[in-house]
Formats: sequence, structure tokens, C-alpha cells
Amino acid sequence: MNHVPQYLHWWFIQISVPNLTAIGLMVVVFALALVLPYPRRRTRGIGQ
Amino acid sequence: MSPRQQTYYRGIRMAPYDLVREGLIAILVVLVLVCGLAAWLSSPDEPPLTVQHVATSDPVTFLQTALGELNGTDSISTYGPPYNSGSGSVQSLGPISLQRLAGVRIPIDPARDDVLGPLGMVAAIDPRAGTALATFTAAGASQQAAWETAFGAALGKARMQGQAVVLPNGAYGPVAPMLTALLNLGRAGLLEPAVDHSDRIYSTDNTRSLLFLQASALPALASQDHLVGTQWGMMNETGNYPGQAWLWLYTFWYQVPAYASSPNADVLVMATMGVLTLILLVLPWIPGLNQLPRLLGVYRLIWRDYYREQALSATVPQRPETPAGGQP
Amino acid sequence: MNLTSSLRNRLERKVALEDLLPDELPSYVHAYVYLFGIATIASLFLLILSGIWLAMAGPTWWHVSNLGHYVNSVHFWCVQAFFFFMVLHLWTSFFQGAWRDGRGATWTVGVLCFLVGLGTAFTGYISQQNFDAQWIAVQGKDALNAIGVGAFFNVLNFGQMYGFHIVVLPVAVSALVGLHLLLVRTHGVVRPYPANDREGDQ
Repeated sequence: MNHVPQYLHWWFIQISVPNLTAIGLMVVVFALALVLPYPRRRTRGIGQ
Repeated sequence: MSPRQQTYYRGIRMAPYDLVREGLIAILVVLVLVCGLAAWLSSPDEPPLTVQHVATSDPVTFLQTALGELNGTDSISTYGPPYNSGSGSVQSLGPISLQRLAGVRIPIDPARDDVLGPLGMVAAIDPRAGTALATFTAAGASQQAAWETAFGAALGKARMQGQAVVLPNGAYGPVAPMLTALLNLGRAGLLEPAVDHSDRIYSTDNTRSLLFLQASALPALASQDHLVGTQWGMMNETGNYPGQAWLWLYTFWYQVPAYASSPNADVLVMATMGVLTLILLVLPWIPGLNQLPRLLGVYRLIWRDYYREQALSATVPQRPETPAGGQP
Repeated sequence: MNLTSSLRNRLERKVALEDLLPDELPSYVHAYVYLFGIATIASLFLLILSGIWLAMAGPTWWHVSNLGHYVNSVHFWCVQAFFFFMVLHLWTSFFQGAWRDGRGATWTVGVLCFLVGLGTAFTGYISQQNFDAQWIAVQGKDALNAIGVGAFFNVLNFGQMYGFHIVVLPVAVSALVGLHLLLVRTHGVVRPYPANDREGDQ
């Protein structure tokens, strides 16, 4: 793990694979959090 | 729920919630995650660059650095505040230089701190170094400069013979034995203690030794690790690890030629980030910007269940609301 | 004027225990995006615990001990987790317009948590006593010197940076996060935007 990581070059952007992975994971997790349905238990409102 | 919040949530269905349980579960989940990542991937720890390493593997660079400090031509000798009153690295935004205003608060004199001072210590155990030092300090400024210039020119033609640096013959005076003694001090691993602990034996301040290394040895190594500014270096980490990806916008500006080529690059980047940070801080009160979320509409996804419920209940006859705002 | 009773009265007016520790919340909080905030706090909590362990053993320990290196690795990945979840929490709060209805201070304090967190991470990286720390220090010094801060905050001074990292900034972050939580709980989570877009929301 102590070797120099691979760097990706796109236009003027240089980014390491670990950093791209971290950022990519953020976007994926955020998107999943938006669209995945939250497990619903039998909820009850108050004031019934 | 307090009356204030009851009023605020009128018309909204409440649901049971256990914040403490949620907090404990969050701690457990994150604990498993980080302990797992730590066990699987460990963490980076590239050993520090030492003067000993430079003195042993690249003695010519060491000697060039030491000479530059002795004759006051190195970047630190001419830096400016907070180290001295030079102007080599002083930045300003228009007429204002916060750097100058702050003043010289960390006085550094590389010739004294990194060369003459340590040699004074060496003199106690190496009489030849002591003699050379005495000869040098007794000489006039122009004589010292002549020796330094000759030595500097010779370094450009230096060759290695084993561990020894061989220079062509020349009139280097005491400069050659002085810097050789300093090189030996470096090779013994004693330069950092000599410069950092000369004033206070238990100092935890590494300013002087780090400034010695920063001239060329550290940047050369940093470039291999993609840590240099023009390589988006601020975001990066040694080894195959994520770095500080959250610094992406800060390091971005150093890739913009208008910033990177300016002698005031750092102050320009800081000013830009300062303005952007201020905008982020007061976003709630900025007309237009504070409407962005409504315009972007991602909230419709976040609260889709709520909107669906509201739409459904709008088509169903309602019982009168209870004071706490619950729905049947 | 009795300072104690005026403080108590102020707290009684502004802070209700039933709001600090509610057992029911608006039903729309049952969504994954609402977990990023508590995940950030969990990461911070573990950062502090692992940091305390590292501090107790001294700054050299993790270089010379396998257990020390492991604890440092936990601390390292906690930093990644902290910023990971905090940014997702920031995105969520932004898309919700969570500053509405008098919650502007909550947003601003949250941004301050982020900023002080950046400083804590920065001083942490500088305290590593390895090559990364050396490089970050000699690079960082130029930017800080350029704005006059370097004269008072010397990134090349290990003792000063370590002191900031293990005491000053964690206290500041914890206080800001505490204030942020207090504001969130006393105001309550923000209501959704009105379904009818034409209504105002401030």
C-alpha cells in the first residue's frame, strides 16, 4: 500500500485513484440514500 | 415536544423515534467500518527525510544548500517576514501586505543558525573545523564572498569518488573545510539536533531543520509522490491512500495559470477561498442563492413520501386536527 | 441582577428537555439522508477516542508499535469517515434549504464546524512526524506566511501544532458541534418546502 498510486489525467485535472474512489463513493452513497426506500415499520401518529 | 415545536409541526404526522439508540447504532456501525478499513488497508507512514540521508546520498545538494545559507542567497535568507526583513517571498494584495504587517516574529538567520552555529559546536571536537571557522569569521566580507563564489562554482564541477566529493583545485580558503565538517555532521545524523536544540535542549520546534531541507531535497521527493502544488498535491497522500479530497477547491486555484504564475499566488488563493467561505457562511441570507435548493428540486426526492402522504390526505375527508398536529 | 437565575431563566425559555431528547419526530425524518449527521458525530466521537489513545501513548508510539500503527490507522480512517459523512450531511442540508424558518444560525455554525474540522485535520497531518508532515508543513508555511498568520501559527513548530491538534481545536470542534446540535434540537428539523412552489419559504 506504500507504492505511489495510479493517477488519472483528464483535461487539467489530475486525481489519484484512491481520491477518485472516495469522491465517487460519496456521490454513489448520496444517490442511494436519496432513492432507496427506508424500511417502514408500522408507524402510528399521535393523537389517535 | 415543546409548544413552540408543536405549533411548527402542525399538520405533520409525527412518528416514534429513538435518538439515543440511533446514536449508539451509528457509533457501532462506524466503529466496525473504521476498524475494518484500518485492519485491511492500514495507514500511510513514509519515513521523514533526514539531513543524514541527503548528506549521504546527495552530498553535492547538501553542500549547495549549506553554501546558499552561508552566503545568504538561499530562499530563506531572502524570504521576508516572519523570518527576516528580506523581500524574496513577500506577498501582497494590492497595497496591503498582511505578511509585512505581521512582522519578523520567527527570526531565522540561516548562516548563523544552520552553518556557523553548528560549526561552533563541531569546533569543540574537531580543531581543524575550529581553525577554519576562526579564519572565516576573522576575514572581511569581500574575502568571504570570494571564497564562497569560488566554492560555489567548483560545486558545479564536483564529482564523487566513493563517499568523497572531489572538487577541482581552487582558492576556497576555509570554506571547503568548514562545509566538509558540516557535511560530516550531517552524515552523522547530528545536524538536526545541532540546529533545533542549540538554544533550548528540549525544544519541540523543528523550524530550522525543516527550512534547511525545504530548499531542494524535500521538493524533489514530493514531486515523486505527486504532492507538489501543480500536481493538485494538497489533495494527495503518500502511498496508495486517499488524501484530503475535501481540499479540492483550495488546490484547484493553483492549477489556474492566472493564480499559479502570480508572485502573490498564495494570497490570491487565500483571498478567493476567503470570499467563497464567507458566502457559504452567510448563504441563508443571500437572496437568490438561498432559493437554489427550491429551484434545483432535489428536495422533492428527499421528501417524496411526505408529499405523497399530503396529496393523499388532501383527497380524503379529514377529522379535526388535534392540538399536537397528528393525523388519523 | 443575579447572573445565575437570569441564565437559568434564559435556558428554561429557550431549551426544553423534551426538545433535546424527543421520542417522536416528524415522519419524514425516516429517510437515509437524515442519518448523515449522526454518522458524522459518530465519526467525530471515534476520532476523539482513538486520538486520546494516541495522545496517551505519545506522538512516537505509532511509528514503533504495531498496535500503535493500528490505532493510528483507525484514527486515519475516522478522519476519512468524518469528512465523508459531513460533506454528505452538508449536501443534504443544502438541498433541503435547512436554514429556513429561523435556522440560519444552525447552518452557519455547521459551516464553522466544517472549517474548524479542516484546521484540526491540517494540524493532525502536520503532527505525524513523517515525510507527509514535513512536506505539508514546508508547503503550508508559504500560504500562511503570505496572509500574516504564519508569524503566529508556525506550522514548522511541532510542539505548537501538536498542542493545537490535541487540545485547542478538538475543544473548539466539540463546542461547535454541541452548539450545532443544540440549535438543531431546539428549533427542530426544518419542514419540507411547501408542495405548492409558489409559496414563500422564509
